Amino acid sequence: METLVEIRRLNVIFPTFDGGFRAIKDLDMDIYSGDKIAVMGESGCGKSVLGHSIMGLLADISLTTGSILFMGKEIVGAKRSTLISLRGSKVALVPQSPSTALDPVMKVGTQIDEMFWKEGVPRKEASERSKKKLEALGFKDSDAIYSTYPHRLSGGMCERAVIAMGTALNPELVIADEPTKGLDPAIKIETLKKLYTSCADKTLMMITHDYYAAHICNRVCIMYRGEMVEDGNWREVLTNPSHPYVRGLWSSLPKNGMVPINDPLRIVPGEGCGFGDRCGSYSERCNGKQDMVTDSNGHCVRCWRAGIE
Amino acid sequence: MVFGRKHTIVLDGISMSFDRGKITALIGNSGCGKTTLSKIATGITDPSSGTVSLDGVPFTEDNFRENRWQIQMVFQHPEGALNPRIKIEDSIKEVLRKVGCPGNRLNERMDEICAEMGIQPELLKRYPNQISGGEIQRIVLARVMMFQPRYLFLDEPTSMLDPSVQANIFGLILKKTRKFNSGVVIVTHDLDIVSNLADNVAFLENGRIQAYGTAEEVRKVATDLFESWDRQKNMRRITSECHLAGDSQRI
Repeated sequence: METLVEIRRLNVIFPTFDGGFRAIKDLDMDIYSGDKIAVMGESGCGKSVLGHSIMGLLADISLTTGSILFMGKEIVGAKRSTLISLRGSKVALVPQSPSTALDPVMKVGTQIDEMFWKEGVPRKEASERSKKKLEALGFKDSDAIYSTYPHRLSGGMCERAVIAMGTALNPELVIADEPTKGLDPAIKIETLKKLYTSCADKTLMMITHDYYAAHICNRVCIMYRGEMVEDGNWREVLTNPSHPYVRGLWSSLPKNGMVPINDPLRIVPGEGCGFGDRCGSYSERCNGKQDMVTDSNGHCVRCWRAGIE
Repeated sequence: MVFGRKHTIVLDGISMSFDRGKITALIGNSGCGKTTLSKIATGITDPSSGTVSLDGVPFTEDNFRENRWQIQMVFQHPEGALNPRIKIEDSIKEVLRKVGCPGNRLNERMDEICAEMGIQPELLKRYPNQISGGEIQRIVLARVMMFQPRYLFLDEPTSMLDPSVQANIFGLILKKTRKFNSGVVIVTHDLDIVSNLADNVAFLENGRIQAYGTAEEVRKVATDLFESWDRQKNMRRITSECHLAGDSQRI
């Protein structure tokens, strides 16, 4: 498998009044061509920060160290011109909250055209390609949608419009941030189908809270407090996880009785397990640095117990 | 009750009541009027015609302010509920003053509320944009529960939150509303939440209540909605079908 993105010892620190807040901590990760990855975890765990780091969007507002190699090109510390040349055509973001991501004073079609203009496509051709893109995303009357403003679209339609923008240039990697948020079940199914088929022969990284949406992916990664705690095949992570936090996460699903995980005690961990203050299996050994334990199938868990259970 | 703008009727001939001490779920596809119904019931929006009554007493201009205190609403986007320009502690104290807490007890009462609601003390000095969605939702809940409302409307309160925080928030909602015997109305797309929590379910479609009863009873009428929910639990099969149907497209 070709490695599309190689991340080594990534740290992202945001300055705050209380000192630096480390949103991502020493993260190592490989993303392979053709992967469909769901990145999951609680609010504030670093999922969106990871996606935005790969796009090189955080350079001005954070201290980012480590390395992100995208198709062999270094993203951390890259020149603005390099990042611009990659965005849209090689890596694209389908942002959260599409109704706010779309420019409210610009027609939908023009916002997709902009992606083509960036690559030097003439206006007339850009307009035709944008309409074809909207048709492919299930808009029957693509001419009407092309000429409409975002406020006239429903939530599901806005999401598909943003997917059209993000996949317009057929990028190698699409990062979709919470694409099903706020959608009713029928619209969610159609949106996920369109997202999946738009990225069929490309790589998709879907950041999501949605347990069911994650099932479209072949690989699921769970983050907690800025670290990757479990990474493996979708079936294993979603139905038989190894990390105590992930087990707790699925126990708190409504279908499993909504058993909440213990509230954090907010003991700021040093090098030890970030989940230690909430874990029912905590022991002294958890105070030490926790490396990822990898089994023969490539399933990784950041818990020393995974090596013996 | 009827609500509409220009030639669009959003709610048409709605007559229903919500019981104290019970949890009612409002379900239906996007645009069916669930949020509009909640806003009318809480006095945020006026109906085009019809009345809203609280414990048998119709809303009037004279009792409006007190009624608003007795019926509270928590919205889907928690970050919009707090003033972004004041610190969390000031947002909490603002409501404490409204409900008559003496000035010399503000800090003590705030600490009690934070302990009850699991709000970490270090959050109090921060601004809303410096804390997570789950933390904001706890603070919003803390503020509305200070009014000890008779009825609490929740419009997709946890759809933006991960499962563990969602479970915590619902746990808090149930604990506090049981204490005050509040009636709870939840607007949600999550039919697992409906099946697990709701005593009663109201299904809205085309601006009307099409079914009202237990989740099992409503399922027989809202077949499309429940079928879509069950289908989306099998996204793996759905996307496999996309492959087999040759839907894969290079755009």
